[in-house]
Amino acid sequence: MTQTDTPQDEADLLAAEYVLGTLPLEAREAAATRIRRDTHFALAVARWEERLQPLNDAYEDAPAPNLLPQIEARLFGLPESAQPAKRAFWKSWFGGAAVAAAMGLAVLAYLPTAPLPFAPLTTLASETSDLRYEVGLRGNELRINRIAGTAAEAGRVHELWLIIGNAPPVSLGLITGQELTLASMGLAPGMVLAISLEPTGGSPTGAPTGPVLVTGVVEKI
Amino acid sequence: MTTALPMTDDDPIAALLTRIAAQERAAFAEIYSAASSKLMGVLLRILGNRAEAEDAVQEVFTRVWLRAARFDGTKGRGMTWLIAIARNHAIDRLRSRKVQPSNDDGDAVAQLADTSRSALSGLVAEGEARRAVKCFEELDPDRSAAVQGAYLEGLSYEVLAERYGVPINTMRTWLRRSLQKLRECLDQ
Repeated sequence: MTQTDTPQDEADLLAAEYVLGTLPLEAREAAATRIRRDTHFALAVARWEERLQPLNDAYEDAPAPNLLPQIEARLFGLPESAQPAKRAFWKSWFGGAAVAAAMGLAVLAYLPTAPLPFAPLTTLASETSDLRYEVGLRGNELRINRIAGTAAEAGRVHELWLIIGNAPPVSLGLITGQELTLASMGLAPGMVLAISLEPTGGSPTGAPTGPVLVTGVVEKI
Repeated sequence: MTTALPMTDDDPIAALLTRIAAQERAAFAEIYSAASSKLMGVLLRILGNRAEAEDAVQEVFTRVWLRAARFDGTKGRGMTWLIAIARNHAIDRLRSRKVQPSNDDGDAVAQLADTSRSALSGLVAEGEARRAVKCFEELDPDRSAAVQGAYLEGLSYEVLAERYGVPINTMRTWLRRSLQKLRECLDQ
């Protein structure tokens, strides 16, 4: 063992320090980015996690309160009974219908087939691009719809990402056409949606590799 | 360093993660019951604050749902993967704090060594764990305690350097050399 480490050893020690947790914030964030982009480095981190994993037995259990309802609300949206906004929406709708019925209009026949509109959540945009995607939510459906700009050129694709706090972006899917509809994945205010330009088939690394084209913050669900 | 690949049969957490990757919400509730105490223990130990740990538990399980598809049962056990998410999140929170806890004195070093000794003595001495105990014992006791304090409590180079009364770079070198020795020993 010499005082100067080879680049390979240097990378492995950095992986070890990342797992150990001793790095300062900036170096830590840089290492987290490298995990997503450098498979060798990611493997080195995984091996260190395995090496040091026997220490995990030293963590003692501490009962956690049942926070599952809050977590599920973040992920899957609030249960019906806890959705004041939506209830108010329905109430106003039926209220309106009642008035209409009282006025002798055949509104009720129309109601069952009327699709609920997508409630706008945010618009993904950027100051440097004409590209705009509108994001809407209807029940458990999330729709991302391109309302301005063009699709990615041949060989490229727009990839949608969810960013929660400082966590690495999570891919939600590829937008190959005009729009993409997903099962709702528990958006909450403050989360960020972003579109990056990726090779056809999507990011090869699991993290954005191309330029981020447009972004938007979820403001209110 | 090849060990037998863990099968989901004897790794119930891995089996749950596979179901969660298929968006099965019942499995998500089950993993919360099965793992929340352990992860709460990790978060409390690192963050040292129950309110923040409870906040962090929510964040950690949110990530578990969103990232379950990336779990690879051939690379490690389910609980190891969960604890890595919890530790990483807790340490990110610590490092993001504006003020680092400081002003610890010699007592803190003694305390640190104590908790670390009990950490290892608490390990079930079998297979991998026994080797880990042996490898940590081969290190200088102070350095072994520093490595374990860093891992278990999320102590930064700054805090460790202060506790052991050495410059940060010295502490970093100590730990890097210790990690190299551990790697040699654990990979045998």
